[in-house]
Amino acid sequence: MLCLCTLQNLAADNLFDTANKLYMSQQYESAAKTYEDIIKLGNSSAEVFYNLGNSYFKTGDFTKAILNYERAKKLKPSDEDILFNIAIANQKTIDKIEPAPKVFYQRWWDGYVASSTAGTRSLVGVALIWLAAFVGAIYIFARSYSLKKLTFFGTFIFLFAGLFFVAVASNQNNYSQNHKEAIIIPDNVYVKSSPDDKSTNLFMLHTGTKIELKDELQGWKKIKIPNGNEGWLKDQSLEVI
Amino acid sequence: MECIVLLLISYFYSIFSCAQDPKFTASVGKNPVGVNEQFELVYSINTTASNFTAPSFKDFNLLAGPMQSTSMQIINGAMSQSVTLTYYLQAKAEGTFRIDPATINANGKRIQSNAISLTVVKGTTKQQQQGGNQQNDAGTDDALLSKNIFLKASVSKTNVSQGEAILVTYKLYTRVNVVNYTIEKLPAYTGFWSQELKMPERLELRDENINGINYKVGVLKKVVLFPQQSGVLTLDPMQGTCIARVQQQRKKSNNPFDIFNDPFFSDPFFGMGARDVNVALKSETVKINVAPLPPTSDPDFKGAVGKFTLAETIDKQQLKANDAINIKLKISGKGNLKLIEAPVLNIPDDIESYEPKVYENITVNEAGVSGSKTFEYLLIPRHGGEYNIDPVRFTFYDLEKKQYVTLASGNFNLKVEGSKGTDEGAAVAVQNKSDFKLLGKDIRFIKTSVTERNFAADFYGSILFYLLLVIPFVFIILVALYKRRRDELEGNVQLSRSRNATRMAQKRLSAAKKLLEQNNNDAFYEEIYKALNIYCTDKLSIGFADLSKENLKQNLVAKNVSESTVTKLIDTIETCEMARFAASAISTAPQTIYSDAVQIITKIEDEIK
Repeated sequence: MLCLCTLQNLAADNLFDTANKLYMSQQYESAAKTYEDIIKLGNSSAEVFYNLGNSYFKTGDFTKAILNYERAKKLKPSDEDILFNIAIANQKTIDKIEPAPKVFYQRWWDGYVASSTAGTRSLVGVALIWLAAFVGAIYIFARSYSLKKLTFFGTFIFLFAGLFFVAVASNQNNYSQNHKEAIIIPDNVYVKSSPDDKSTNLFMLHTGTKIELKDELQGWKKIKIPNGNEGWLKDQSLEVI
Repeated sequence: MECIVLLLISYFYSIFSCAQDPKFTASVGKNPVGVNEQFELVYSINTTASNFTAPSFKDFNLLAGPMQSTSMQIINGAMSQSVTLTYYLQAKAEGTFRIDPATINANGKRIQSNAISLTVVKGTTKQQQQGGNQQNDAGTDDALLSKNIFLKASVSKTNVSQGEAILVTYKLYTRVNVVNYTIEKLPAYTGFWSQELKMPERLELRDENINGINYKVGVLKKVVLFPQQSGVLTLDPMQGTCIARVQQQRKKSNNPFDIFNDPFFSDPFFGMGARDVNVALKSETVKINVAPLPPTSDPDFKGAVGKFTLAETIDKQQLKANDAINIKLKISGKGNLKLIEAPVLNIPDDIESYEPKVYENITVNEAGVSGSKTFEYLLIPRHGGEYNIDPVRFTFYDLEKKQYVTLASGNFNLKVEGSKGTDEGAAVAVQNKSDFKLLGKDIRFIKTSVTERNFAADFYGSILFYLLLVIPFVFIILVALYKRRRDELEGNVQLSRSRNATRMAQKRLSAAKKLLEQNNNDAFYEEIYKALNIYCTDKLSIGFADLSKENLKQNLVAKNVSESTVTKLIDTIETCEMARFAASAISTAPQTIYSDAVQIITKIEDEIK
């Protein structure tokens, strides 16, 4: 079992090198195809998605570039290269939607949350709780009053800090599981007022725009755009990140 | 207008009124006529007439008319006159058409002309020889007009490559006198880039013989065209009108004694003179087959077609920073020069460059467009150093060789002496500093290695995570339990006593405070006395029996408690002892005793080791 897994990893590594060489020799289309193969093997990583995004960008398919950059970003939210290329690719999209303004503390909080992943935070949190436990043990064995005082406060500070990190991580994990985003694939689509072809056209979205998924119903998805507008789109007009 | 004319006619006829039988006839210039052929319809009456009503010409295009002419005949001193009204019509379609009779008032009666049945055939009918039929005399010159005046567009070639020059000449062919002409509609030259040739202001007529007929030919317009797209391109017709002056043939009389039948009198001098006729002119549409250029991926090819040479000049190659240099590129030759764009100089980013100035020296003639185009580039190096500007490449399609030709200029090597900041002062030095410039915007390069999916990525929510989260809490509980158990096992009563001492003392002190509030002074002193003594025995792990003041002092000092604290402790214990037996002898207030006791215990807690 382990052996099989390693073999697959090895194959993926080879493919990755091949794809990189293709990219460097400017054969972007074949490079994109090879990166797609790696993902099909189940060996996706932020780097593969990022490189695939780059390949699509070079072939001029900005929609797929954005989709793959966003997938990379989901795995590595604070990678500077990914964020930079998303910004460049987003300049090629047609829809310029001004996000609804946020209060300053909301912005700070969002920035803080985005600065790390749930995994890293939970790791730090657990480490802090361990530290609290050790300091607590010192407190138990301490004889001198001053040391006892110090370790007593230390225990609680570390414990609360640890619990805070774990709580943020848990929140973040919940959010990423319930908050799904998607990219508009066709050149343009009408967003409908209800999951029905005959319903009113609310607004039009163009290829490459990122939207938030709120709900789904029989082949339709309820979407929300950054400025707060909501509507329904057919499944085939978008691809989930 | 018609009414005025007819009024005039009636006026004249009232003067020269005569009592002839009114004869009102209609005739056509020729019958049959061809489709779209111009023909003449003449109504004539030989007496005073008014109120002429023409039939409808719904089956025909009315080109001109009615035109009125009057003729007078003097026969043996008796004058007779006739009036003719002429329409110029054009048949629309094939078939036999009836032209209904016209009516007119003559001699107080309303009379009708004859109706005409006209046959329209396909194509143009052969022109009947002049004089062959008297009936046709009047129509002849008009019918001839369309034959005798026409516009023709001739192109130098009809099969060309894209970008190859074609000369289109619009000529007016005429056999009659042309008084005036106007060009009403110029072709749009869709799909071409056009360059008109300058024409002399006056129309110069030359003789030309076509199929044995001599024409006067005037060139109206010459245009050099460069096809911009491939495929079959159509040159729209040029449209215009001209006024032709036609010699009016005198209406021949049926009277055999008419002296004017003599050919002598057909001299224009004696005839009714000249008549001006409007003739519509339209050249034919010309189709031109444009072959596409062979495909090329050369980025330097920007549509230049023809034959060119490239020459470059640079005014200096050694200069100081901030001096200007001029590079001139001269493209000369034959072809679509006007469409040539400035070649792109690959200029190092440290050199400031400006949009090139363009000078054209282009002549357009029948042979095409030739001359030269000069691009002048102004460059200013901002920093010292050696710069190399890559050769400029210019690609064009050579029509003769049928292939793409790339011309390259020489290298431009520049030696720029750096300007020294100290020599030129601080201001220049500051100016020489260039801001960081972002030269291009592109996505960042791919990542060449996959970082191992780090441990942290999947950590949250894993079993390990929950395990690691629970372990510290279990650990701390276990540590606490172990501690207690160890203390008990080792029988370390001392330590547990010592640890309990503080708690017990606190309990007693708070009890003492209650007693103080109840004013139960005896019990209060008792409680304080016990609190301090028991605290000390517990803390020092000595028996209550051994508790002498001397012993207490020794033990405390040995445990690093300061002398003053010990003295205060003993003082307070003594005060409490005394108060139990002689409360009145106590000068210190019980509150002070209480606060002293608290202070002492706190101090010992701090100092004891």
